[in-house]
This record gives sequence, structure tokens and C-alpha cells, in this order.
Amino acid sequence: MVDQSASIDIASLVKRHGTTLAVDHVSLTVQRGEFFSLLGPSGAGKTSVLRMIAGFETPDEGTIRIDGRSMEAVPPNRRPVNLVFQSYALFPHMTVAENVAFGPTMQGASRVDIISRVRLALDMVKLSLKEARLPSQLSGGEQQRVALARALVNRPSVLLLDEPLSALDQQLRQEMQVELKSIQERAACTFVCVTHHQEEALTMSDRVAVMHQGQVLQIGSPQDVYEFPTSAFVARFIGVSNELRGMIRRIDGERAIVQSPDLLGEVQIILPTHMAIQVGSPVTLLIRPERLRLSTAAQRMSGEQSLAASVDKVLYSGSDRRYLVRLGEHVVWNVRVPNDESRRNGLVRGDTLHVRWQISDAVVLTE
Amino acid sequence: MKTSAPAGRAEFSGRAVCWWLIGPGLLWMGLLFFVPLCLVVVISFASRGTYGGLVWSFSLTNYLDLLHPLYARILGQSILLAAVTTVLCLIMGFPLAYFIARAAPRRQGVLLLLVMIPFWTNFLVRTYAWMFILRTEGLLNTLLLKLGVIAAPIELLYSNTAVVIGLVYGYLPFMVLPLYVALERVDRTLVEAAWDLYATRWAMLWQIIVPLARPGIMAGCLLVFIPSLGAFLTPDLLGGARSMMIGSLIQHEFLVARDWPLGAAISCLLMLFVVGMMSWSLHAAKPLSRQEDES
Repeated sequence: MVDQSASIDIASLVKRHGTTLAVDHVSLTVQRGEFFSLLGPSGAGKTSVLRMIAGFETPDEGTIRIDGRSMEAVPPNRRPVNLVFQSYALFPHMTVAENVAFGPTMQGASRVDIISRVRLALDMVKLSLKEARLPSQLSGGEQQRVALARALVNRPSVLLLDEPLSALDQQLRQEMQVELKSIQERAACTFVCVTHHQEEALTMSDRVAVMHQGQVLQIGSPQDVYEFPTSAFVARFIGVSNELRGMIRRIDGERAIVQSPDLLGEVQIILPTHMAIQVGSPVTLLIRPERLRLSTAAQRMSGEQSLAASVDKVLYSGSDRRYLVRLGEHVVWNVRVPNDESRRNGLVRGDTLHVRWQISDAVVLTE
Repeated sequence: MKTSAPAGRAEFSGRAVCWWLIGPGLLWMGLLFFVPLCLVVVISFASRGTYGGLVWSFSLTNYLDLLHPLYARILGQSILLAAVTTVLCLIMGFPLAYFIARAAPRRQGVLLLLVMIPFWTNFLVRTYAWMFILRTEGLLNTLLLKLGVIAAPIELLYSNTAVVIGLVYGYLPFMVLPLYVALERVDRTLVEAAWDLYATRWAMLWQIIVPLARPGIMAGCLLVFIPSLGAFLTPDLLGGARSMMIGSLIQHEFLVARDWPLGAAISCLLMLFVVGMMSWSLHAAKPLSRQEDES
């Protein structure tokens, strides 16, 4: 059965580069109109997946369907997708308007049609006034928008973006994240974006697939992959995560007690329902720095966990303070505290205190 | 003052070093290239003595003689043969250069070396080899007869065809090298982008690759056209008396007819033509960046 609402349907895709598996049995479905990101470190195979969707690389195994149609043996110029290249790949000898008109011209659109479509596309990216310029006369952000217009003018059923914001500086990158998202909504087009930048992926995407060593580790909404990572890799790659390794000591209904060799005290957790955990199972706890609170008092509210710690380092970063606190000889955690007025006189190195968190905020992983 | 004195001396010694470095080359070019060139221009206004000597009297007779249709026909034929040579070199050289430019980086060096290997043998020797291949009872005719492709030997040697074959053979590397440099610089992702934007292979070639490689195409064409136009060895050996080119004519006037002033006048005319054509094509092949500044 072919899913009718699927824009892209990828089934057990494999690509080998020599003896290494660049893409290792990747299966995923992108819904129509969705902003979908492939997130992962360099070498994770995400660009390979994108290039196979575009048609520049041929899969060794598996299938790619776009709008329900198999893309086997379909060359890039016959696919209903367009790619925005990482380097933009604007034609240096053509003006902005000529660049944007290239696709429709190649498709044999009429002159009148081309002119109106180019105008619309340039309006969409707010570059109508610069249509007679050459790419080299534009700023990086403008070149990026020409690349977008040149792809969107073809009304592709899927727009592919390869590290779209990597060549821009920090300020412009944040503006373009918002811009890209709104362009996607205006164009009502499926976007598949490759990036190694986790904040970018979380901000723009409806769903994210986290890739590592050729495999998709987790697919979900930005909230899902951030709050409920299913593996230590995903937790570490997306944001900062505090970890604690330990073993289940006791199980008490839906709660359990974990003991860690690195720690004096015991930690209470909520057992994840979907995992089979017994007494003696090794587990890893993951807690985000912003979910931790610091207090001098040891007593805790119900549903809270508290551990004794000492301040190792204080890092001031304007909007918040980061504390590195030591819980044991080998355990140093990150705690992020918003820089509001009450904490103006913050803690200093060597202070002893208690780290507290809601036990429901700790993510439990079995290895 | 204290600080400026050593600085001044350093600059002086720097300039002295500079002159020592460029001096030999400058002297060489000046004495052996510029002075003789001036001599040729001067001689072109002199006239021929009864026994082939020079008579130093200023006259324009040599240039007026060149108005004779015979010379126009030889110049026209030379331009035609050089143009045909250039076009054939471009047609054959472009795919070759593209292939080398897109080969694995490690193989590119080997392939370029192969293109240049013919230079290891003297040009005259290689042109003689072509005479053996092309003549009536030569290698090519023998082979074609044996294979039954032709019934009677074809007369190839001493024709314009033979001249063009020789010129194309000799100057093909001069086309391949600048084309390779230009094509190697064409960003592959631009070609991919065109492919992604529905271009056929033909469109990728004409809309993207050729325009971006234009400076290299121009350079290659000049490097083939100019020496082909002035060539005298190849037309002499392979063309015989039937296909006179302007280079052979100049050589003939200087060495056989012993009419130095006329030979010099033809040389000047050829030089003017070449300089005019070069400045035109340099203008046409201007890099993109400079055209942008004008707009």
C-alpha cells in the first residue's frame, strides 16, 4: 500500500562508499507540506540521502518514492524535486532573473509564463529590486534567497535544502531560520533539509530525523527528540545533557531506585512503560541542564529528587548562568539558571548545595 | 632623519636586486626580439637592390605591391586554413580536455603528460613522418588499399588537406592545455544545479560549461590560430607548391627571392592583422569580473 499523503517514501535505503556503509537501511516517510530535517554530525550519511532523493546518487538497495512514484532510473532533470545547494551553485554568468528563469526555460515554459513566475518567485524572497544583478554582486544572504527562488519557481513537489544556512553568519542565520519557515508556509511545499546544526533543525522543522553512522536513530517532532531522546547519542547531539550510569536496585510499582557506582546516594526514577526493566538492569539517566535547580536546603517536595553537590565552576553567559557542579568523583553536571534578579548574588566555586529535579524530567535509557 | 636613511637604503638595494633579476630577461627580449622587430619594420620601407641587397631609400612600394590580388589570395587561403585548423582542434580538443579535467586528480597529471609527449620529438622529424604516412605509396594508402576501402591510392600529400592534418596534429596540444585549465575550474555543482533544474545534457554543455570556459576557449583558439597562420614548415613540407601559405611566402621572399623589403612588408602586415585580432578576442574573452565593473 502506498501512503497517499506521503510526499517522500524511503524504504531500507542503502548506499555503500567502498566498503563503508554511508547509508545503512534508512526508512522514513515525509508527509506532504511538512518541514522535515535530517540532522546529524558530518559523515552521518544525511547528504547522501538527500543526493539520492535528488537523483545525483543511485541507491545500492532500497527504494525512493516521490508522490507515490518510484524514482528508480529517473534522472535528476525528470524528478519533481529541486535542490538548494550548500554553496548555492548560482550560475555566475547569469543575472539573478536569468538564474531564476533557468528552470522554467528548460521546461519549455512560455515567455509570458516565465516572466510572471520569475517575478512571483523573486517577490517571495523579497529580491525583486535586484533581478538585474549578477550573483557576485549580492551578499551571502541575498545569494541564498536567489538559490531559494531559483528552486521554488519550478513549484517542485519537494524542495531539498543542503545545509542551507551554513555559509551565513550567526545573526543572519537566525533571521533566515524564521524566513525559511515562513517561505515554506507560503509556498505550501514539502521541505527536506539537511543540517548538522541542532538549533536550526529544532527551530524550523515539523519533524526531525537524527542520523548517525548511516542510520536513523530517532524520528520525531523537535520536542520529542529533545525531551525524550531514545539513545544517549541523540541526547548528547541535541543540546547539552547530564548523564548518570547506574543499575536498578529496587522496583516499586511504576517507580524504581537506581544506584550508581559514581555516586553515594540513590536516585528515584519513573520506569518507562515501553521498556522491559528488571532489578539489576543497567540504565542511563539523562537530565537537561535547564531542568535542574540548585538549592541550599536538602529537603525536597514529593516527586522530586535531590543530590548533594559542590560548585566546580561558574560560567556567566548573559541571559543565564551555567554552573558545573560535582556530584561525585567522576560526575560533573551542567546546571543552567536563568539570570533573573533573585539570583544576582550567585554561588561561587566551592559552595556546597543540593541539585534538585522532578523525577519525571529524567529520561531513562537501557543500553 | 635617522630612521629614514636606512629605510631609503633598503629600498635602493631592493630596487637594485629587482633590476638584476629582470635585467637578463629584459636584455634578451630587447636585443633579440625588439631590435630585430624594429629592423623588420625599417626594412619594409626600403627597396631591393639589383642583386638582392638593400637600398636605403624610404618608399611605400612594398606595401603598394601587396595590394596585388595574388597576395590577398594567399592571405585569404592562410586565414582559411588556419581557421579550419582551429575549428578542428577545438572540436577534437574540447572533449579531450573535458575528459582530463573530470578524471581523478591523480590521473590528470598522467593524462596531461601524454598530451605533451609529442613535444619530446622534434617538430621537423614529426612532420617528415607525416609525409611517409600521407604520400601516394605511403602508410595510409597502403593500409586502405589492403583493407579494400579504396581501389586506387588517393593523393593526400601536397594538398590543403595534408596541410590541415599536419597543423591540427602539431597544434592540438596548444588547444587542449588552456581548455583543460578553464574546464577544470568550472564548478561541478553548477553542472549538477543545471541538471537539477531540468537541463538536458546538451543544455548543460551550451548554457553552463561553454560560457564558463569561454576564456580558455578563446586562449586555445588564439594559441592555435596565430601559429597556424604564420606556419611555414608544415605547408612547405606537406602542402608543396600547390598550397602556399603566408608563412611560406615570407620565407620564400627572404631566402629564395632575396627580396627582403617585400618579405618584411608582408611580415608587418601579418603582425598588424594578428595584433588586431588578438585585441579583439581579448576584449571578447574578458573575464566576468571586469565586465561586471562596467555595468
